Amino acid sequence: MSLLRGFEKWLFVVSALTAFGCSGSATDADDSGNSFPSRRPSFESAGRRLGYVANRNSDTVSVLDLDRMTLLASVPVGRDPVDIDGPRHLVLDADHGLGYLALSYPFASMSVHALSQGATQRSGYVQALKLADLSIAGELRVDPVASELAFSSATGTLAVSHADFFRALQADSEARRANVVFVDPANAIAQGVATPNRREVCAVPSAIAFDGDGARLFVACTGEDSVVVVDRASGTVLSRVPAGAAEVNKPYALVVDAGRDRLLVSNQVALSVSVFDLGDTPHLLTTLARTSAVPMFPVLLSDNTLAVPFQAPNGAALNGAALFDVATGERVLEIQYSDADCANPSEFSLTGDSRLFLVCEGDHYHPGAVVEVAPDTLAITARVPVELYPERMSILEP
Amino acid sequence: MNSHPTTRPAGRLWATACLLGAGLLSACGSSSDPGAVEEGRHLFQSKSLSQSHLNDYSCTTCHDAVATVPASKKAGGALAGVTLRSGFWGGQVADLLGSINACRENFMGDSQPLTASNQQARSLYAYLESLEPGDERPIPFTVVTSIEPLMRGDTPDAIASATSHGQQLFAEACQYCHGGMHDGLGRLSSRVPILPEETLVEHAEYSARVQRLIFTEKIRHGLFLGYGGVMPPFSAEVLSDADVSDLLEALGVIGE
Repeated sequence: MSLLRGFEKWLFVVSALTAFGCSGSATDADDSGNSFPSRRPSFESAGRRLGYVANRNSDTVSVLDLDRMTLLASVPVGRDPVDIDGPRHLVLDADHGLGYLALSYPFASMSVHALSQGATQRSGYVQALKLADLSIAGELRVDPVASELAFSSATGTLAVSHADFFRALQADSEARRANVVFVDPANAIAQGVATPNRREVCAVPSAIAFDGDGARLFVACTGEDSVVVVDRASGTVLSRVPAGAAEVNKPYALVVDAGRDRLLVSNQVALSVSVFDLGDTPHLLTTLARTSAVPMFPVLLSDNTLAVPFQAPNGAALNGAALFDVATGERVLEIQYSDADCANPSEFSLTGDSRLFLVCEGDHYHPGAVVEVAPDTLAITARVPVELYPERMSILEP
Repeated sequence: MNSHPTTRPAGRLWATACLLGAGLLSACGSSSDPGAVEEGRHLFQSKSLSQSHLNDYSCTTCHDAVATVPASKKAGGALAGVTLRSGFWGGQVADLLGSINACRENFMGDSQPLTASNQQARSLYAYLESLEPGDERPIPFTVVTSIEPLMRGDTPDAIASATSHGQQLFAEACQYCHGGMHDGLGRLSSRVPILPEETLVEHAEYSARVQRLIFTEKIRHGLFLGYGGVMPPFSAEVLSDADVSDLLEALGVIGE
């Protein structure tokens, strides 16, 4: 009898445990029990240094192990299963385990039918992706041609620029100006409660970056040949300064080095990099010697050495990089890359342990790459192919 | 007298344990729940997977449950094997639920995504899982984005052959939604145009040459790439350029 009573207790315990396990899976919104098990690759950092690269023409994000220089996976992203979503730029919010991705929808419809029906530019989106597997945590509709992103880990604010060339065709100079959208806090996108705070800034705002404490946003205004400083809290424009010393500069890439109090602006027509301080009204400190082709996203390797990638988008096949002395503006070294090694170099990134990486766009129809280069010679030491038209990489430090 | 029995035959206890365990396991595992499978089959075959009153589609509109030989001309691939696949929509979507939600949003007019814990989603998954084993390889799905004029046959025999083949393709690929050629008999709803007449009337301002391009684009792009509507795109794997040309021949959309 005692044996049977023991069995009853055992039965009760097993039943209770089974029922507990069952109800646990049924009520947890993030755990679907055994339906729709995830087959996505996962990207646990596990002490590794990971690189995230958005591939604009293949609608994917490539994740790289930068310590081993291997491609972990290229994962499809975006909202549309057929059209090109044009993922432009991914920035990291490591505290919340999220990445924010701009979807630009670069191609207007070419269909005679659609054009005659008044088809127009599609709104851009920003998606919050879980860094663990790049699944979608949430999204927010912004303006057409969502382009570059900036995220301030100090304030948790995201900014989105819209390089809207169609709007820039307006005759009225005020109407030409496109918005920068602020999302504060950015992780509200993942919770589905984010509100876009639109601020009209300038014609064709391109690259953007926050200062160190996230109080001000610096904007490269391609369509106005200027750099604009925006106060994050109020959204007001604090200043507009020429992007360089030339009559026409055409700024595109822009980088803030908060630790060194420097703003770096690459100018596509002047073929030079302007070095400013980070004042409310930035002061032009140095104009570097002309680069051999169009300068892109540079990086300061030290207080006095700047590495600048350059490319020739007109098909001249002139790919390379150079080191400049910031104090004198003189070029101290230049190297050219073959198309096979690095076509259309676009962005230098420096890791916490001073390794230097370069994103190579490729020809936009064949895979681009991320390469590691020696900081002193700029020679390529390792190369990892990614997908179509990468431009920028965000690095998750261990 | 205590009515609660103090002893119970061991056999009855084991039977109770087995029944209880089976019941609990059944409740936990949707794949082994006949009720969930049956509900999922109903969702697969009916329009109720979307809450939109404008929805005319079910999953079966575009997908077979099990692959056929020769291959079906439905726009989407057969779904046996789908729970094991790692890529969808030609690799543009990374997970099955995202793929289902893309169908619901684009074709079925319901932009509220199903989540994995949703009862409908669980039942649908149970049904799809019941179709296994199937082909777990991702199904090639090449969307033809750049539309070029399609060649026609240049002899009476070639044109007759193309027309005959095109009529067969129309029955396999188009009729389910558009109904009979020229009369729309049996079409999904009055919102679906009768082919080719209603579409030609809608585009009467275009030349015959451009009308042929428009038909080609609509077949290839469906609602995507700026077109709108709810039609799915027919990939290069489902319909070759020659197939599309034969379809247009049967419809009389010859560009002249």
